[in-house]
Amino acid sequence: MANEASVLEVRHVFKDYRIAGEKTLFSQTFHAVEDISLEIRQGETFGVVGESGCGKSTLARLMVCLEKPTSGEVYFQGTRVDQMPEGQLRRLRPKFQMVFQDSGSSLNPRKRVQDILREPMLYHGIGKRTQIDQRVDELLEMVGLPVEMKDRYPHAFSGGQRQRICIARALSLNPEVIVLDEPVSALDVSVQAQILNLLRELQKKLGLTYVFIGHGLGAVHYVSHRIAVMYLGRIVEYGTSDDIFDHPVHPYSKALLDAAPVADLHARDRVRSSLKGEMDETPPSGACPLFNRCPNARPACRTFENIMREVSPGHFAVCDRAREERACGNIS
Amino acid sequence: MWKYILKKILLAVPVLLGITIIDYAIMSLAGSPLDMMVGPRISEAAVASRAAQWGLDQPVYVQYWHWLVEVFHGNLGYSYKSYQPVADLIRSHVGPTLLLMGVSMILGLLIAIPAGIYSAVHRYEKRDYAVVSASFLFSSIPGFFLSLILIYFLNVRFGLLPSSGMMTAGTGGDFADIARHLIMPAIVLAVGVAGGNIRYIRSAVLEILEMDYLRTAKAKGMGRRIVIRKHAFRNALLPIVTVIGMQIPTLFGGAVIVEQLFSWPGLGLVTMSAVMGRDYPVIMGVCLLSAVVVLVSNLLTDILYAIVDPTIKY
Amino acid sequence: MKNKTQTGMIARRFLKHKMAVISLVLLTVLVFLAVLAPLIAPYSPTKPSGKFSSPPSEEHILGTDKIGRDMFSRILYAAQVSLEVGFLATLISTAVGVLLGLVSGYFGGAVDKAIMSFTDMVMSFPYILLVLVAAAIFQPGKWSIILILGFVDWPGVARLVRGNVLSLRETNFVKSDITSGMPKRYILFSEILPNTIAPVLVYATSVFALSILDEAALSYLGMGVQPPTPSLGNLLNGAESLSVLTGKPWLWVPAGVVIILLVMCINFVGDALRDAFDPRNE
Repeated sequence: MANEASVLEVRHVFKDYRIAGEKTLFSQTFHAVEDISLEIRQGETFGVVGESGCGKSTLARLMVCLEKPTSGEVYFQGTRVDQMPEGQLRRLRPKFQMVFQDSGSSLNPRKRVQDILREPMLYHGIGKRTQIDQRVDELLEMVGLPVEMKDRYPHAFSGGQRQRICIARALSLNPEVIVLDEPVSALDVSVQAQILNLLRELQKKLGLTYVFIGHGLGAVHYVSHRIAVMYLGRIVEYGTSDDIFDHPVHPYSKALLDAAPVADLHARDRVRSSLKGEMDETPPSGACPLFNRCPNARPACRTFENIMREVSPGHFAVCDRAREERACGNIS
Repeated sequence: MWKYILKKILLAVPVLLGITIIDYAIMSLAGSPLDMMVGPRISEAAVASRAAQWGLDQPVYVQYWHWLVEVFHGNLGYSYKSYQPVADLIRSHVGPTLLLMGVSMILGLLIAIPAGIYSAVHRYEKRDYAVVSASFLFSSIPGFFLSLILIYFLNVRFGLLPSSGMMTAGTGGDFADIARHLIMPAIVLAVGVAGGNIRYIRSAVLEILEMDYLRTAKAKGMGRRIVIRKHAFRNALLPIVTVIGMQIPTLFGGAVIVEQLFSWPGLGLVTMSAVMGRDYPVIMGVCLLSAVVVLVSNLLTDILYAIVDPTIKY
Repeated sequence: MKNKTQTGMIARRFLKHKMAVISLVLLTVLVFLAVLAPLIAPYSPTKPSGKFSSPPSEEHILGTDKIGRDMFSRILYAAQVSLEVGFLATLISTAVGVLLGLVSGYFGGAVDKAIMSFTDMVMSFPYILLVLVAAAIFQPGKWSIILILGFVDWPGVARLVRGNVLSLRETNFVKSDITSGMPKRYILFSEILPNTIAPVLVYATSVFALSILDEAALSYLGMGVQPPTPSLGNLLNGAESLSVLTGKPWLWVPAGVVIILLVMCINFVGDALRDAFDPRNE
């Protein structure tokens, strides 16, 4: 796959947040994203899964430059974007768009749909006024909404329809990449499938690249070519969708998968059933992040290097023990 | 907790300094007090020597600096008019103002709290509308108009109450006498306090009445009275505490006007004449005092808040 | 289309408040009377037109003042002046407050800190002192009172707008604008500002009511609008003399009643607007 160019790349990104001190005058630092490196390839859908709070949304925001990494680099088509001056970045931004989870607050309640779609295109000078009006109609058709609805205000739409409008808005500026931050998590299951199918269709038609963030493995597996599993701000394993699904090696991925067939709501409880304790339990410093919770933890896990090693071609994981097991052929 | 208080105090210091700077700047724009003394009977040499004596020949920021340094030494300066130390002047007039403000505040809240709760409990009933309308009326009457009406009826027509001063001239002023003088100005201020707060307390209580735990309490079969007394009121304390804090600057503003109308010998009267006479040190003294009072009351509000509501982080 | 139903909904909710509807009608009538004073007033407000201090009669329905000017005409003009002062002061403080609040909330950081501590200072200041001192600076008069009141009331607006901006800034539609590379001025004025209009409007009505009261108080004390220009406050000035207070109620009662009516109507309308704009009342 070396010939496939990377569209979006993050290298060793960290994102720290300060939490205002509750008991002291000083603040504490919280690592939302720790040392993540990823390359997103042209035309693929890259899934990121993990429990809520694992830092996947932060990763999404870093990818579209809504936030600047504390350290590390973000590249779009080989150009470094995280330190680009605001004006220059603004011209490049249309190329990487984002769709948010909560479609309700994604649309300005005081604007008609056509204005929501039209204004960014007008600003970026995509065609003349009449061309843009025509494009608004095309976009609505593309996402499966009746063109007559363009005069309406967002509150007149259902959640699924609003998410379609958000997708149309993301498409309006001819992006290369769309980062989808849990785009279907807030929707009914039946509507989820429609939106996922729409996304796949659009990808085929327009040659888009997606980064798909989700906490339900089902949806992520359905749309993704490759998947990364996140835990406590780190990526613990990534590989092709089938690698992760059929041959997960990291104990956390396995636990997550055990929870996959059931509906999302229950996933978290199921995860707990095969792992011990809670996610926010802080591991001993220097140890594997899963040290407290892993059923197969052993003394050697106290010293841990956050290095991805290849398990099979294109399939990487950080857990040494899992790799050894797999090398010996006794996959559990 | 102590750290929280310390932090708040440290944050208040620059605000206080800022207020005094604004005060000084505005006051200096108002014109020199020397203008007030120029007249045929005063020679230019006398004016110049007065200017030098008061330091008015120096640039404004130097004047301010001198004032600030003196304040740190506990000296608020001397009145240009009466040559009295400003601290003494304030000390001798602060009592009546505190008395007036305190009584008005208590009276106002004594009207507002029961009325607000009553109104909330009977929401959307005729009684509720009556109370709310009354509160609008209260906050729409200009203080001076109400004063005139009160003076007309209680003093001029029926001669029930005295209309000016704090005690009958020539007497030492016993409790009853002062109380009689206090009634009218206190009513005027209290009506203002009540007007604004009835609606505030009403909506605070409404918000609490709609919370789930109160529904649970009701569902458990507790009587409405007990629900209100035991649960709602405790939680309504929080907004009430805030209101008291916020009220102080407004109340002081009202006091300035009311003291003027009833010749109540308080700080308002002193302030007014100092403003008219450009008596810088007195104006600055009063401004400093009121700023300190406001900031301290804000601080107390914050602390009370932290005590009443344990979910507030500090 | 949908816009009409949105405003329609707000109008429907507003109309449910009987007192507010009555107030709105009354307020409209009063404003018309005030604005059309030159056409309606039977006499000049500044020139004597009858006997001194005559009680209400057929020629002078509210009597005449101590130099024979028609009180009804004076009140009409006074209401015009008071409304003008209140309206312009509100306009100034709202504009200043909205601008500072927008800037403070959107840019955050040091700008925010500076603006907000200034706001705190002006707020934690018994504003009557500010008004008195400022009134002593400028020549008292209509325009200085407008400027003074305009300067005094903005901090509340600024805080309100800042709070709104802070929460709007976190909405996904603003985030979407950022990822679409839209400029800050677009985000501020086209996305955030329209969403703060409703609360600002409600707040502005209370500022309007307060400004009218403050103008009246200052003019009453002789630091506001100066005679011979009539204002609702300085009309009451004469009542300080005992003979006027007791013997000539037509010289002071009507002006006071007009102030109360105006302020009450504005307050009722503002209260109903608050209810009507509240999305929780769907």
